[in-house]
Amino acid sequence: MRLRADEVAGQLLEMRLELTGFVRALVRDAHAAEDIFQETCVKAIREADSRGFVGPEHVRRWAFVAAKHAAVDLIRRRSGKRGEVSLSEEVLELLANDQVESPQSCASSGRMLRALGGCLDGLTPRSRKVLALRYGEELSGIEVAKRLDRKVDSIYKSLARIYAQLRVCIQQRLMEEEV
Amino acid sequence: MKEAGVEEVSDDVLAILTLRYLDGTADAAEVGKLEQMLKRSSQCRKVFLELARHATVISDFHRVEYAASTVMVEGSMMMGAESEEKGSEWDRESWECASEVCLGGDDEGIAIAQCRFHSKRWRTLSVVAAAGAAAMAVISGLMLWWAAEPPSLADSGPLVAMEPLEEVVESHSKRKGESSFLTVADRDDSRFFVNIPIDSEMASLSTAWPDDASEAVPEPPQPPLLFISNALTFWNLCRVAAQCDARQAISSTLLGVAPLEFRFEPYAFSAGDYAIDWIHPRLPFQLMQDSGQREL
Repeated sequence: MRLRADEVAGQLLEMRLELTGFVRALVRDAHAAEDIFQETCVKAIREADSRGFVGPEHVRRWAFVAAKHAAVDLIRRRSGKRGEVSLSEEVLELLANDQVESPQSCASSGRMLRALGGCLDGLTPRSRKVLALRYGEELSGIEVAKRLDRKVDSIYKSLARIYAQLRVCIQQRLMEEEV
Repeated sequence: MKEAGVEEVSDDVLAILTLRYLDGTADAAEVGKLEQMLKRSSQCRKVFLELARHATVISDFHRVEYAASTVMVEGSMMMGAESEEKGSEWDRESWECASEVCLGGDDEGIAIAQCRFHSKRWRTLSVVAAAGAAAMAVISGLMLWWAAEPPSLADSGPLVAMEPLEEVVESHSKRKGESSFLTVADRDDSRFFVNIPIDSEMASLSTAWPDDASEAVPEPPQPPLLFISNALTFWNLCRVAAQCDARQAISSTLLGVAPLEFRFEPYAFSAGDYAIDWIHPRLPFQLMQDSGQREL
């Protein structure tokens, strides 16, 4: 049975975090990732009307492939214009395949954010400051280091440590919610 | 289990390289190293993708929080003194609400008004914004009325008669004491302009191009409905924007626009104890006064 366009749109919204996270890994730009996600949604709804999707897994695979194509197009344009050093298309392909094959994250964006909010309370004020500068003000690690008068390496080590801490914490909180 | 060729690479190195790559500060050598790691190991690719996903979650969180704090700062400026500590408390409420209601929570159908009226400060801001929208509605009404009533000839008076060209040239020549020129554009090639001295023979010529008369098409009258249709489109856009989904809510907040629940039927929006009369809007300071009393 073919999925209706509104069902496809609903599924894509549920996948938003997973899809934008994947695209962001490829294009390294949060705004471009959002744009590609929106483009993919529009294309998917058109596809649902024309050829149709047979089930949620079909939508998921189609969306990741479409998003990967859009991301690769953007990277090609950028590397031509700005001369950006990026991962090769071979690696991007491997990443896309891994992402499609990995089990779908069952946590919705809302649940993840809720869990993250609780986990951030467990961080030290210093760590929270690093995250706020990196993601609130969208500074690079080098700029954060300058702002906090710290070494660049120490900022990246801090970020890596914070990520690990948050990952464990988020997983725990999501499991607790399910129980 | 580590895969072949990856034993020497610690998770820390992979994480740091990934973070540097994602924020665009990795140089060519670092990108090359990361490329090798990702090519060889699916475990590395998994870590890479996971880090990017978590970066997106954290980034989303901070974007919502940053947007909320921006609105909060603007609100403080508008409403006067409020302590910073209360502000951070409000931030927390706002992002929790936004994440729950707007960012794909289970009850997406819950009125977004719940989110917007989550804190007292937000309520006050919304009331001020509502007053602004009411003022816009009144202005639009006046403009519609104006558009529907075109000025009559009697009101505007007769058109000013144009002077014949020869009189203009004559007076101009007398005034300046020198010959006048007519700048003519080549109709086929607009790059070329020619200055032609105006003599009396030319001045007696008609100003119309010979073929203008045959091609002249009377300009269709501007239908007043066009304006009405544009106005309605504008309000519909407002309405669509107000009934936004999560990202629209966030982006409108990011733009500093207080999102409003604007409805045509009934002409009111309400949340809890608030019901604003759109037909008889009160002045902003009255609304602010009311909201202050309610908070007390």
